[in-house]
Formats: sequence, structure tokens, C-alpha cells
Amino acid sequence: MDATLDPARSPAPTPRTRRQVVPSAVLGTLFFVVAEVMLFSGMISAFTISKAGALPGMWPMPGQPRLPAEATALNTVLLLLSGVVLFVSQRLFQKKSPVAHWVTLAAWALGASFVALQGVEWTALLASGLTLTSSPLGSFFYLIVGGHALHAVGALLALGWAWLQMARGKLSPGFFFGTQTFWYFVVLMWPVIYARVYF
Amino acid sequence: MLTLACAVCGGGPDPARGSYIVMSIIISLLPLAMLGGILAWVIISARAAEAAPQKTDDGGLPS
Repeated sequence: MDATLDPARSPAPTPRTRRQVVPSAVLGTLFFVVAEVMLFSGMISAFTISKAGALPGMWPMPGQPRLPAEATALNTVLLLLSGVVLFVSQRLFQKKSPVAHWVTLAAWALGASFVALQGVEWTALLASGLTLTSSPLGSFFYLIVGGHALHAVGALLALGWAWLQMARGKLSPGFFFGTQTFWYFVVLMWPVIYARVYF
Repeated sequence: MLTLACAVCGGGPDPARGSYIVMSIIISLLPLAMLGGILAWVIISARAAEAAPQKTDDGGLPS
């Protein structure tokens, strides 16, 4: 019998430990985010070219409301704040702080407030005549801002689940970091959309 | 016709043509920059993780 195959004679193999340098959930989410950034880049690109090509005085079209840039500034602050609070919650989670889930809940609430205020804004815009088919601005606005809102809702669902699991003490760090990555995308994408579409 | 931008041929008025060129450059470079950034981050993280236990092991070996 081959000595190397005899478990009694051969030395026990040293187990090769594989250390994860980057959490798989974060890496997977990052690749997803790259695709999503390109989606929004395409839409913003089309918007920019269309706006640049509009005839003088035709953007927005006469009779169409202008976008409420001032009111949306508050939403923007809320969303950016939620990103900062989520970053703090990650630090607390890593330190196993008992208040981490409350901080995560605060970040979620700020994000939910952003989506809710966007809904209020949309209702007012629809009432004043800006619809998906009323003008190119309306089409682009609901497509780009609506797309972002959908991502925000998806991220809020994931973040809500993360919070629930954190409160139960069952949250895996990988899931939390992946969810965070996606939320940071939602947070950081918004100022670009706001600056391009609202002004 | 309200908008004269042509995303295919770059036609239309000058501002639209300029925007088309600028956006084409941004959209071409953005994915490369993002994927390059991720790759760099993974490589840096892997090197940092590789270096960390090496120091501990060397410290334990007789000289």
C-alpha cells in the first residue's frame, strides 16, 4: 500500500484556510451597481443631449411646470444624511454596539422620508400637468427619477430586512455590507440626477 | 420637432453635438474607471490580507 495514501502513516494535511479579503456580497453588489450606474448614465446622457438640442424657450415647454429644485433640496439632504447615519451604524455594528440597530432604523427612516417626499412632489407635478407624455422633460423626469425611486424602494426593503435581522441578532455581516453598498449607490447617484435633471 | 439631438450621427445643433461628444466620452470611460477601481481595491485588499499574517509567522520563526 502506498504510504502516502495510508492515513495512519501520512502526516495530516495542513488545512488551507481561505480568508475572504472582500465579502462576496459586497463584490457581487458592486458589479450590480456598476451595471446600474451605466443604466442611469445612459438615461442622463440621453436627457443631456435632448435638453441641449431643445429650441430656445422650449425646455421646459411653455405651459409645463418647472421642477421644484428648492423643495427637492430638502429631500437631497435627508438622503445624504441617511447615508452618513448608515455609515455610523456600520461602525457600531462592527463594534457589536447594542444601539446599532436603532441607528440603522434611523438611516432607514431618513431614506423612507426621502421616498415619501418624492411621492408628494410627484403628486403635485402630476396635478400641475407634468406627465409621462406631456413633454420630453416629463418623460425623462419620470423615467430617471422614477428609476431612482424604484432602486430606493428596493434598497429600503433590503435595509429593513437587515434591520429586522440585526434586532434579532441574526444579521450576517456580508448581507449588511452588501445592502449598505447598494444604499450608498442610491445615495450617491441622487446628487448627480438632481444636478442634471432639476437645473 | 422640439429636440434636434441625434444620438446616432451626432447631428443637430451645436450644443447638442457638443453634449453628444462629451457624454460619449463619459459613458466610454466610466465603466473602465469603475471596474478598474473595483479591481484595484480587490488587489490592494488581497495584498494587505497577505501581508498581515506573514508578519506574525515570521515573528514566530527562529532566526
